[in-house]
Amino acid sequence: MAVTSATRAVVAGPSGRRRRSPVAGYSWSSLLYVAPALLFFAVFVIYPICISVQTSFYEYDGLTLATPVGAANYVAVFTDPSLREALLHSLVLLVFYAALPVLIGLVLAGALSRIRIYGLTFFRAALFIPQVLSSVVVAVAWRGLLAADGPVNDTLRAVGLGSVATSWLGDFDTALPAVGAIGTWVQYGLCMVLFLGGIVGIDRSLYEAARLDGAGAVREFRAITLPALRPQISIALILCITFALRNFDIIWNTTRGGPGTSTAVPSVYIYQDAFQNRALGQASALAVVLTLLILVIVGLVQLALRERSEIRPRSLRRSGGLR
Amino acid sequence: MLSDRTIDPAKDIMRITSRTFPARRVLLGGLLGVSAVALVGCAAPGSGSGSTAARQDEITAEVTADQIADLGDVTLTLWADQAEEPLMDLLVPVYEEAYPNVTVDVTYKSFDDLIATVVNAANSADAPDLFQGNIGYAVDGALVKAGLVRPLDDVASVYGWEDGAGASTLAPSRWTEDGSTFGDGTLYGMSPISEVQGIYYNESKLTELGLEAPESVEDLEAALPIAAAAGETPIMLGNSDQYAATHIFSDIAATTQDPADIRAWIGGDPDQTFATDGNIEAAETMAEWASNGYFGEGYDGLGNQDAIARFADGDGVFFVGGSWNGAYLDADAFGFGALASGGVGATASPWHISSSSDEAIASIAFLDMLRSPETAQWILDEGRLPVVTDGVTASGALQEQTLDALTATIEAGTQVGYYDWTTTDMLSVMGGGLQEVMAGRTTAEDFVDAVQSAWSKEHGGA
Amino acid sequence: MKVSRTETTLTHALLVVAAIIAVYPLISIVLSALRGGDGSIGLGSFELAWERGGFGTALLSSAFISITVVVVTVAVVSLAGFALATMRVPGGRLMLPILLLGLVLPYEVTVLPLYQLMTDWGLLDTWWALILPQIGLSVPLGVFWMRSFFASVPGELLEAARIDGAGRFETFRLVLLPVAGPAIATLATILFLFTWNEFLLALVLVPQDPLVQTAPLALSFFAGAGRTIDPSVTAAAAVIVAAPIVIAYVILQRRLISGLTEGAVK
Repeated sequence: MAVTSATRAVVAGPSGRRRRSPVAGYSWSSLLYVAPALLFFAVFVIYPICISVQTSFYEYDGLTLATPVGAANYVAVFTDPSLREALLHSLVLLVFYAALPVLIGLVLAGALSRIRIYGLTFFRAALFIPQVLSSVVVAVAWRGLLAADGPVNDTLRAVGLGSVATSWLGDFDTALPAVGAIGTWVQYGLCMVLFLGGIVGIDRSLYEAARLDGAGAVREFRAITLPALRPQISIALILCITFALRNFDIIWNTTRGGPGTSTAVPSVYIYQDAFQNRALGQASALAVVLTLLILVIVGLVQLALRERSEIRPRSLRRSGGLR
Repeated sequence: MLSDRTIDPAKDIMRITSRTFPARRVLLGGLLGVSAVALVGCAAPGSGSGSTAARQDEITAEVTADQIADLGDVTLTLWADQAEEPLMDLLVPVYEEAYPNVTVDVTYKSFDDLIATVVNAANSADAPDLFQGNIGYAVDGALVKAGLVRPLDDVASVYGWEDGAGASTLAPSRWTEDGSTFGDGTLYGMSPISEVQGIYYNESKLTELGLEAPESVEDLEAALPIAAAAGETPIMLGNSDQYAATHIFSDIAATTQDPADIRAWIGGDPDQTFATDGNIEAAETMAEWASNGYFGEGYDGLGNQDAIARFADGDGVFFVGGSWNGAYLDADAFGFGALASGGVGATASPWHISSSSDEAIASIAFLDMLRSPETAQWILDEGRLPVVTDGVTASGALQEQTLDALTATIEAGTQVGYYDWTTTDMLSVMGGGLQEVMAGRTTAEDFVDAVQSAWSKEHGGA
Repeated sequence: MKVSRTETTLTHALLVVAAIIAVYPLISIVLSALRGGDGSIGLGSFELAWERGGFGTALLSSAFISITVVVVTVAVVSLAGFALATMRVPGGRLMLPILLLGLVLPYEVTVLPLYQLMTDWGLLDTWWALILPQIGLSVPLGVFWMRSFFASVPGELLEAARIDGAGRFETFRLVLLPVAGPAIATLATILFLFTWNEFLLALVLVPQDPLVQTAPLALSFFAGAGRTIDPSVTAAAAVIVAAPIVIAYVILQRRLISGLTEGAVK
């Protein structure tokens, strides 16, 4: 650390008007830059979180005086078998709500970036549509599509796959993947937009050079696009994983967690506890546990991505940054 | 850090600054300061309530126009389910004409939004004067427990709500003082609208199949195999919302059991149980009908709303539902079979007067108007059912059949209410459990035990 | 020409299939809106939805709220992202995990403390009750996004600015902001989308004033009331609410599109 800082000072040389001691640690005035954002965040996010953490140790209906109950709400979270089942469902949904959308988004963004697309504006708007529709409406539309006599089954029958046709959302075995497929459909547009935003920032000369070297589409994608998109992939994964684990609307409006409890997820229980049962302490405890779970999963994914992203060339920090 | 300090004078300056403003603590302080105050400063959530009870005297005689005129120019704020909008459009102008110093301001919400927000609103500083709650613990129970709604016993006795057949419809709005059980006790709300469950049938299909209109669950059961054999969907069911099948279940269950027991169980009487032979039989019947294909294919993937639309379009022979479905059906093509053996029914969301309202007497006058015979006729004309049925005339056969069914159930005392009122999570417990029974994934015995154990968590008992 | 004709054809085929899958449900919604309850074809459902849902004021409210949230958020997170990417911010390492907390939080629960806060401040039933919390909730994503963008800007650019004697803020304003266009456009699109579609906060924090209600709230008026409303009106309402986001997307992404095509032309 000391070495690099010293080198930097040398590189900057005497012309660096704002030159300071090479190992001067923190930049205090930088706090001015982060203060406005942090202020909003502290008051409107951190403060309510703290209240919720506090509430999770009480029995509270939102109206009458709360009774402290110690860790009882947390004990309930960890001993309720239906909640364990719900968490398991969430993990399955991770595949559909996070892994698949990121993959599809990458393929689409990669395809859109490589060649001149006729009707680019149209395609981009069309592919973005699933993201913009209200989830209530998405649910209504997909309930129709996936019904026993809906278009999806009609298509299957038309291509000779009539034997697999079923009431996708109404069958105990297919409801969870069916709800998952809706999530995939909703999320990939978001991923695509994020990735397109990143691809624009890639230096075009890199592609030129790769093509001169005779790189094919796949190699070009793996060697240039993918590494450059790591920050976007990382953010897309955070958003998608979060969506997967706390999604409520789609499930609530398609299956209400059924049939039976085959599509129940923790957020359905949080909503019911908070807005129907008025058990705010219980809802808060479950939300705290869910938040921690999401943080752990997101943290693991970030770690996995970070290890490899260290090889990214020419990042600002490496070359010195501003002082 | 330590080595930095020893070798670099600049760091010393840093260090001095750090002593006054330790780096991390500045940040943490900024982030958490507000919340620390909250954590330390307040004892427990909920110590303060936004609303304060206003002075509301009991009434001993009907509210007069003069009394209301003495209020001066006031605005009566209402929160209503948007389904009430057509009725309010008729009622509000009449009210404002009778009491010219009062302006009525109605906020409409969809049913889901209303029940999710009305308790908070009732608890706020500018609570609406008059609002609709929802029967059961989640909304009405919370309102009663927190003292947010005015007791209405004086109003009921002054205006004679307790006389006549409609009196029994007040029961779901009666609560014990602590808000722990309902069905009996102090009156806190009033609903002018009633509901009755029964069997809708497609008349031309019945004729084709040579069937009579069903008047009991037995009639229905006998008709189902005939309809199935003819290639029809016997019962159109859309159960993805998890509640439609529970209505059918409750119709079957009520045929073999004392309505008073069912009502007591719903009301939370700890001596009652759900694990009865009648309930087990009813669950088995549901499973049998499902496995015989009497509900068609894919009913768990179909919404209730989609199902009624399909039935209206001529798909399915029967639709087991309630009077709230009637508005969608062509009165000339469909009929309604009452379940005289135990027609389940109930009242719609009751109206409550805020305990913090300064205009309580204006609200009382409004409630009186809501329960008048004129309003009852309007309610019927809107395709719904009034609790006051004396002197109203039905138009058309379907409406008459529904009205007769209602009168019969009210007189027979079989308006037991809905099973999901009994605990806040009963809709999903019973709805989800019934889906499992119907799919053959669990037994009827396990189903009733699961329902009872969820119920016991709230009400105690076996 | 380095890209083969086959690939061009395949890519277009892929896009056509993907586009059909993406828009088919929307088309089914639009068709059911046009069909109308009584079987007639026309714009009747749209008129009805527009009148009964009060979409005129709701769309304006939503637009004002969303634009304010996006503008303020972009401003504060650009500054914060810039600082976190290029300076040693005291506590900076701690900040990112804490921000992450805000990003992953299920806020069904935190909305109730917010309700209390807004009541105490007398802001309930005002635009601010929605704007302020949504800026707070948008900060984590924004900071992550802008920080990773600024961190990816080639160091030489900053080096050059420094050698030219530009101050920190000048570097930010004159050197970095101009190249941040596409990144900001993408961020703005996503924030606009999230803010526009936000339902739960609007439901709880603006309970009473019809002039402040947002478009999703107006939609919920129909969608949550299946008993009494014709489904085609709900469908029409859904289209009305979704349309502005598609338009905003097209406008905000113009920069991005030009950036893309420039690259692809070669």
